[in-house]
Amino acid sequence: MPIIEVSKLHKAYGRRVAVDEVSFTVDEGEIFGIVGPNGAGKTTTIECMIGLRRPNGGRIRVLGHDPQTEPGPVRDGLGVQLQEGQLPDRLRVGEALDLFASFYRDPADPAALLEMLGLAPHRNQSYKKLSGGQKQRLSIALALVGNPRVAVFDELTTGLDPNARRATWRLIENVRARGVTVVLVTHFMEEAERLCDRVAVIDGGRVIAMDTPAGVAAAAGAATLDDAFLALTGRTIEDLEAQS
Amino acid sequence: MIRRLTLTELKLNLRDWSTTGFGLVLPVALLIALGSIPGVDEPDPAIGGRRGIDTWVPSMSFTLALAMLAWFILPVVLCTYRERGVLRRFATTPARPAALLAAQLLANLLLLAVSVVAVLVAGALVVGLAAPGNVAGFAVVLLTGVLSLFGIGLLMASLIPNQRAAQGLMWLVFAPSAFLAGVYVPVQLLPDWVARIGDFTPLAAFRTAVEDVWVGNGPRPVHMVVLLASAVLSWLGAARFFRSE
Repeated sequence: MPIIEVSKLHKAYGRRVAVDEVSFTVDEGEIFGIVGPNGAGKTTTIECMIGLRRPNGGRIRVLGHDPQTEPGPVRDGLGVQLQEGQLPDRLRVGEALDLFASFYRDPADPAALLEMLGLAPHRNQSYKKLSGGQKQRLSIALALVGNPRVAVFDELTTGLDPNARRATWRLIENVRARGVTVVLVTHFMEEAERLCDRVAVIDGGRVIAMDTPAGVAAAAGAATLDDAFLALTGRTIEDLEAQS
Repeated sequence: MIRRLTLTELKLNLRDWSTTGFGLVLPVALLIALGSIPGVDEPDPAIGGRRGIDTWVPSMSFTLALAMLAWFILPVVLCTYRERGVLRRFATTPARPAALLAAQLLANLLLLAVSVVAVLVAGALVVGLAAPGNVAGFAVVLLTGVLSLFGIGLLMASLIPNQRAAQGLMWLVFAPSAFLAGVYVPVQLLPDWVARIGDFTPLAAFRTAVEDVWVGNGPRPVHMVVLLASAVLSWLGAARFFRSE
């Protein structure tokens, strides 16, 4: 029984089609990756999935509910970390956790989360004074404070140095070990390869491949996801980065 | 949830010196400064033989307290929240952006209540400010003034995209309103037709209505109509146009 079902999702902004007939399912307990270059439609896909945007067509079920018509149970059961979603400058780390915990029916223990994410010494620090890595960890803590069944992370490690990135990967594995299903959006093929049980590769608003990372690579006759993307599209992700 | 959120917003606003400075300290300081002007407690023929301490001194303090919170603090905070993605962050939680908006509004109303009480108490103790002559009238005028000015602040927060624009544009709303309300030059020194225009602007209508109820009269119908009409229109507009991103 999939915990998330997306079928034939369609979303256009005016004439520009951002997501075209995207379908996938996420099973309980897996780490599911949505990978592809910047501008491929990854963020729009998850924004529709979590109910932030209204799709133009298709069907979405999250925990068995439609995010547009039954947003309540979807928001209660999802923990989300967004690419652009900051906090007030003067809000302190501990206050943010306590505040967000109060939004949910059955929240996690904020103190334990701060401990797990190494933020306990920064409990009284204001958001403005946190480093990029600390903000990222706080954002993960806030996504988990509602004891969600599904956690959605959008470009979690972008802008982090390699050490912080590897530490974040270990955290995501810990999250899954707690029984939380993870949806990971990334343009980092190496990250998807390392973490994901299955990936959907998106390009130009369409799913061009979906399988285990090794399966996607093998089907394209490639050794890695990066090479598979090149084989499938004739372009490398780096080319696309350079263009944008 | 909304209680915790309101208390958090209150704390955040109080950590910002501009809220405490302009919202809480300025109205009291202004009352004491104006109330200490020699002769302000003597009958003044320029204002129909009434005393300044019963008319323009208290009305000026309440007008500035309300304008600072409703027209500067509230819209600037909300526009910052929108620009920085705070409202969007809340849209993914069960709390929703509307809860954050309501909490920020409630926090400012609490600050205003503190400011009003502080002006009344400090005024009575330091400069011999009398209680309003028409207490019920004062309550009604304050309530409609709150609905009107906070409604306008919310409407502006709905139309303005970011923090920088909010600071600039709210000043453009405030400066002429304050002029017509007699903040820079006493109203009786303005040409008659200018004062007449002021009767139809919310800030000046509020200040004059406070003056009327302080000396024991009722507020004039024109001022109440202006305040209520601007309240209804601005709240409807804000409900229609407010976006969280």
